[in-house]
Amino acid sequence: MAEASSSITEKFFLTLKSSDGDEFVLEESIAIQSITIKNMVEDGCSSSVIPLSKVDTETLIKVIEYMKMHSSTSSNEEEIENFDKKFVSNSINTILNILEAANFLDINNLLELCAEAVANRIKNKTPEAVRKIFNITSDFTPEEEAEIRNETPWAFEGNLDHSLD
Amino acid sequence: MASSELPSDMAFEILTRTSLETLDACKVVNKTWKNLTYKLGFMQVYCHRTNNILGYFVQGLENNKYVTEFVSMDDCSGKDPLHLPVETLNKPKYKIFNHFHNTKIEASSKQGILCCVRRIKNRNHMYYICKPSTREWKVLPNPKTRYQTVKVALVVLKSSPLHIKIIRLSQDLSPPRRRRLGLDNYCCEIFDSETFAWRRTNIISLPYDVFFESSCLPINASGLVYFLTDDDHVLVLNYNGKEARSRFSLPESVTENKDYTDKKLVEYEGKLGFICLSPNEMLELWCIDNTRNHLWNKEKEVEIETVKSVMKYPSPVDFYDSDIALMMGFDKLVCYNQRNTRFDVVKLDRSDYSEIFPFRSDREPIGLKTIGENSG
Repeated sequence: MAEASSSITEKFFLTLKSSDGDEFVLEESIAIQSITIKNMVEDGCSSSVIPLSKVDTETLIKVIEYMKMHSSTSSNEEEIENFDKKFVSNSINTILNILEAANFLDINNLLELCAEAVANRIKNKTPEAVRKIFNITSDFTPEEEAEIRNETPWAFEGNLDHSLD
Repeated sequence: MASSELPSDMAFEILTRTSLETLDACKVVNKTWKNLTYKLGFMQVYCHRTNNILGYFVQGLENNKYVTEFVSMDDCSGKDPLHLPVETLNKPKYKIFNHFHNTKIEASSKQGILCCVRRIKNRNHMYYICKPSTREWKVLPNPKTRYQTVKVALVVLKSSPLHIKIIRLSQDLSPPRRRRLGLDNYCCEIFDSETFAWRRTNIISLPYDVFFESSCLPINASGLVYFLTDDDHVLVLNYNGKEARSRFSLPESVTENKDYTDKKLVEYEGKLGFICLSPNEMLELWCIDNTRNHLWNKEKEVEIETVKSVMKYPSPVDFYDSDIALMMGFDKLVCYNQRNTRFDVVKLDRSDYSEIFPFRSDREPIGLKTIGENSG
């Protein structure tokens, strides 16, 4: 982008380092969609590499992809909508990882998008499937569980989905 | 599979965006998730994000006609314009019924359905169910309307396709009242949407000087329906209208002291609860844990003095999450946060409402007829 470099506004770049040690260089104006990064920049911690110990490489690539699309002035609403639609068709575990990263990086739009996507994906799933997806072990006794199922029979009577994705 | 257990703020973000049925199903995932859904503020955020409805229908008699109003809890100041479908049928555009209408809510549910009765000409009644959020409704056959309705409970077993049961207790009031062995008999009828008919099940007997507490609605909790009687006992029916266990007493400390007032059964975190005002004007909440010993446990004792600045005689109605107590006054409802003793006041359009029905609903159509469907 030759014309961009000749523009008056100077571009700053940040280096983000994933938990796997991979480094990614990103324009500051894009990266500060993350409030966490924005605060670091404002506190003057941006001169060196920003370590993101809670975000692995695979997840960070996705997050950067998202930030690039959502900050780019060239992408129109329709493009963004299509991008988001495709973005949430990733596997539910990928989305969960992105969700946690979005929470850590404080990127509200991304957090909402992922939470909404996960909520849709667990719709009508059995509690057993939900537990497996989230890697949760039940801490209810069988009697307690039976009792809670009794409280709201309607939630367990339909055609529930046992799949994990 | 996620590598480690999901932090609870992430679970909050997900659960506040899911459907009503999935939310209820997720309560059995684990204790953290269950408690999260009853936590202070959860349902408000949930309703805001999903556009689902949480609130109360209040109902009273005015000039011999029933009037209802809906108070929404998503934020305590606003009201959701939620009308009973058949109420609007009398508008000229939807002129399906020509007669004077008078609709009464008989029972509500936390799955979006109401059971209502319209009094129509020749002292006849028309029973119907409706989903106010989608304006869907369906007429039901009548139960034995010659007997006077005493209590009605509605149970939603499945939403798609809709499967409901209605339990109706009624009494033959025509003299001479038949009393056998000093007992008052109540007729129990069950409507099952699968057979689409009422079925008389059995006779429920109470001692002749004991009555169903008129100000207390039946409570559907832990798979059973509970009724309060005025001798401080609880009658329990299963969904087939059979007594699930013999009538049991309210907490002993309450029955032994006549100065307890405003006694009501409630549903608290899915379980049977009991609320009342103690002699020293505290709001008490008791619960029964069926998985342990079937005994009453005092969950809360709440100071409500601050509410009296806006309401002379606050009467406890319900807890709509773990910490918010709902109290009714002459023309106001108060949502009282027992954690910080702060409260919101909802001014009602009219005063002196006598009944209040907890209601929770999504906006999914359930395949019944909607208003105006045939009117073109």
